[in-house]
Amino acid sequence: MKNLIFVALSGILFSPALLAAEPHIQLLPASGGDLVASRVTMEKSALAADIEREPVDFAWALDPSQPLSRETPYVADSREFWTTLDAKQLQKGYRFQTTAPGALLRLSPADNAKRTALQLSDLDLRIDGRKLDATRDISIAVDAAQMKAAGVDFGEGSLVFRLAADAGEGQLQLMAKNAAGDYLLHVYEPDSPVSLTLAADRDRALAGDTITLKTQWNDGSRASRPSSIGGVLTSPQGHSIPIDFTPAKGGEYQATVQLPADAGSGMALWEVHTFAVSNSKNGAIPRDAKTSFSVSSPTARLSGEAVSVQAKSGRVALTLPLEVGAAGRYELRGVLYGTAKGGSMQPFAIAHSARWLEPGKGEGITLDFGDLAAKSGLAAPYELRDLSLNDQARLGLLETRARALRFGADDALR
Amino acid sequence: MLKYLAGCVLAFAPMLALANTGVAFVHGTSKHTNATADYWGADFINSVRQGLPNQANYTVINCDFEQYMWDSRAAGCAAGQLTSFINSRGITDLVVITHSNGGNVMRWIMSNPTYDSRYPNIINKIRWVNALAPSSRGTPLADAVMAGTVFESALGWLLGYKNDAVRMQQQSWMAQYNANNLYGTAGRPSLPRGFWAVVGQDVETAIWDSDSYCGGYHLNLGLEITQAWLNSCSDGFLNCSSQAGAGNVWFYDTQRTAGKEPLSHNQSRKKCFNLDVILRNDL
Repeated sequence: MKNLIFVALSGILFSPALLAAEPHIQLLPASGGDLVASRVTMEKSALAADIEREPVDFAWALDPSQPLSRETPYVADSREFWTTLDAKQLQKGYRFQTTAPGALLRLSPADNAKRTALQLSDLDLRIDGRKLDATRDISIAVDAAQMKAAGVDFGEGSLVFRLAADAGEGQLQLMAKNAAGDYLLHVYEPDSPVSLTLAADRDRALAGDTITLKTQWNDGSRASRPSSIGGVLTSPQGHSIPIDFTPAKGGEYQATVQLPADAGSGMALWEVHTFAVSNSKNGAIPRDAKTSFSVSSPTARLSGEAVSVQAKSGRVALTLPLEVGAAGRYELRGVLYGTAKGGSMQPFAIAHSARWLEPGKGEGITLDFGDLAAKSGLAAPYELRDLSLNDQARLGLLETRARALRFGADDALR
Repeated sequence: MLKYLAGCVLAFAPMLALANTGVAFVHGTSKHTNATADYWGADFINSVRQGLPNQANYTVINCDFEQYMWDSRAAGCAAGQLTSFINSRGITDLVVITHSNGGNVMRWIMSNPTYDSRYPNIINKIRWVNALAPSSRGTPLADAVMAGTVFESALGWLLGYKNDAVRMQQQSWMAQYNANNLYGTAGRPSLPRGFWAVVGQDVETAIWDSDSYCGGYHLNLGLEITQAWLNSCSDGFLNCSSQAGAGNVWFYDTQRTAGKEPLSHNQSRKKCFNLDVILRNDL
């Protein structure tokens, strides 16, 4: 009971109701991982007619015992490759090296052309020259209709099959005398020790930014050098930029890519495709890896002006001024942290707020946390973290701040 | 257990005593005009809604979930149908049952409440979302489908793959969305309402086992094959880690199903192994 009384008194003593009036506080300096625009752009393209225009605010409580953290960007780890084959290559026999038993192969005709589809019985498969027997060496084979029924649309005429574990590994020759037209071959070796990893240094960027990419060829637990490596960056609109990787420390390869300054916003992602091949005496071992990130045009940003802090009567609301380059619907969202009894900062509320704004500087959006601070049992000082500015009209992520604002303690008022 | 604790708290809330409970069924990646017949099966819907005080308080969403989750034809369409349902039936307590990518659409709505002025009212009415096999962290199968299109597009075979929902469910894409646009995954803020996942762990296709026929044998056979792309724990379309990737796990299939049968990705939207009764009893 004593503890309960103490907690209750702590809440009163440090509650937002008793915070001194704190009209304006500067944002904390941006940190390394923050997304910060150095300019705002004017987008002249027409916006969709159905974009929301009503102002909307929404806030809810978070469990302070659940810490928040930022995930590291996705790391692709590929044991597969794709290649295109023409009829002549298949008639002659296409060879590559498998590195583990149980490879999955998918063969799809060009243009979804059913007439050039191949059946398992059309294929002559050999490992290290030994002809494979379909009933013994193929564990499973399905057609496109069966894959589609399972929710996987590989296209008309696709043939998918898996080599049996007993078929072993080695130089695989894939031959089809009656091949006609072009085909896409996809090979996946789920149990292979050979993989290609790929990662971008971040999963979000602004137009004109530079992205750093890292890739590595792994043979078992050992990093090694492939015979060749390359890549391409593709935009959602279909533009592509070649990527030149250069060797780096520890078997890694690295590349930096400058994004176009006129890239638009959108939640459809840009993709990095990396292709590598290691040549062995038994043939080529290819691997392709892919990752993605968002690119946004900085149509608005935090203006840098001081934030208006309203913290009274148990309510907290923060108004952040913006600089807007293009008319649109902008949203701020952020997580409010408070100080626990032991002094640690804990998250207790999240607020979102969206408004239609015209170009200009100074107009702000208010994050209204309502009375969640009073209900949280946490005390000052407070911090606004995980702040982000979004362009909802163009689906762009324009600015992020891991730590944006600290208020409610004397040292924050200086 | 967590879910029942949450339920107990809600049960004692005075509001719930006066609640008008409804249930909404939100389908996965596909475009529907009659998801009752073409996706869920009327026997499943009719069994689940028996748990409602007023069995007429249900709706089956029919939208184009081949689009990106945020698209007006996807989340926008779902928001419109949910709003109409809430308003026309006076729903004050809504349980949403999603399957597969339908979970992502509902997570978009709950993670982006200001994107559409209809979202807040929907969120405020939701008691919780029961997410059957949600594709919260994507699937390698989406990558397998999409990666080939780079080559196909380069050859002019395809001018881009048209199913944006599949594109969106590639693993790196979902990782990006989970980190920036969606809540509920580890380390991210929680969703404003509970998101309770039912996780399918395996596919059974033994020709002599009648359980393999629930939901359609040929569909389950396809899922057995797609498992080759997935981890040892999967429902044939999604790894368990993806299904359990957001919100809380309500249960892993064999913990609750009749005969401790696993739920394949096809069976987790069908009247199989008492799943309908489990969902009915949760209303």
